[in-house]
Amino acid sequence: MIAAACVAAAVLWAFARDSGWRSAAGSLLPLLVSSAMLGHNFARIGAETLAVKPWLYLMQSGGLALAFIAPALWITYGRRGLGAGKALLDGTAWLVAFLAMGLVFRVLA
Amino acid sequence: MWEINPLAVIGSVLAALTIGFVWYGTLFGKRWQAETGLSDDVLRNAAMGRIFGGFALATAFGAFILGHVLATYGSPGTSISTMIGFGVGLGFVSTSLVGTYLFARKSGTLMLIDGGYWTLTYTVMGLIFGLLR
Repeated sequence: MIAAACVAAAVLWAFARDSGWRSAAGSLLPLLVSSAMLGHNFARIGAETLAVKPWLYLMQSGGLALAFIAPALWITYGRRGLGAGKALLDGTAWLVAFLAMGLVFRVLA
Repeated sequence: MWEINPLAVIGSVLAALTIGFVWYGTLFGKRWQAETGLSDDVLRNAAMGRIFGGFALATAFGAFILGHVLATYGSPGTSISTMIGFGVGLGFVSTSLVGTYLFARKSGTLMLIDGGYWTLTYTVMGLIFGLLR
């Protein structure tokens, strides 16, 4: 869970390097919450199912980013009059970060 | 797994819209405007059709997938559905907004306003799915 949050923070930092390492460090706390929720989700699916269907790690983590985070960013940015390009960029960053978290859970399973 | 009540999806979009009106209007409208730095003129001249069209589509998509998630739990009752909605809103959506705002160096107030909106909205969506299962 901690490793997944650290990898996700590194991914987000790679997308916004001008923000500095302090932003990445600060993002660890909310990412730990997301990582714990993701871990809970995998635990609910069960180790036996995940061993037979390992693609579920990426499908679940990527699906959560695409289904819940990307639309919320799109709406929140739209409300503030920010361009679609910004929402697309940040949505992509979160998609990659969640896929990376799913991959960490797969590797450390 | 894909038995999703369309009425619950529509109800979720309407609830999100209503909560948005109250949250970004009566409750925190002025503070949100001050934090975002948007002037009255900019808000008046915003392309509302495009904003609400995008809002309805994106919210309907999120609600549809929430319905799918709840269906994998066997379409539980109101308390579990509400709890799952709360978990999605707080654990995935609000935390990602907080992370994004930290990188963008936005204020804690804006994090609380936007994060609070999504946590409340997904909690209510979960409740609606639980009531209309």
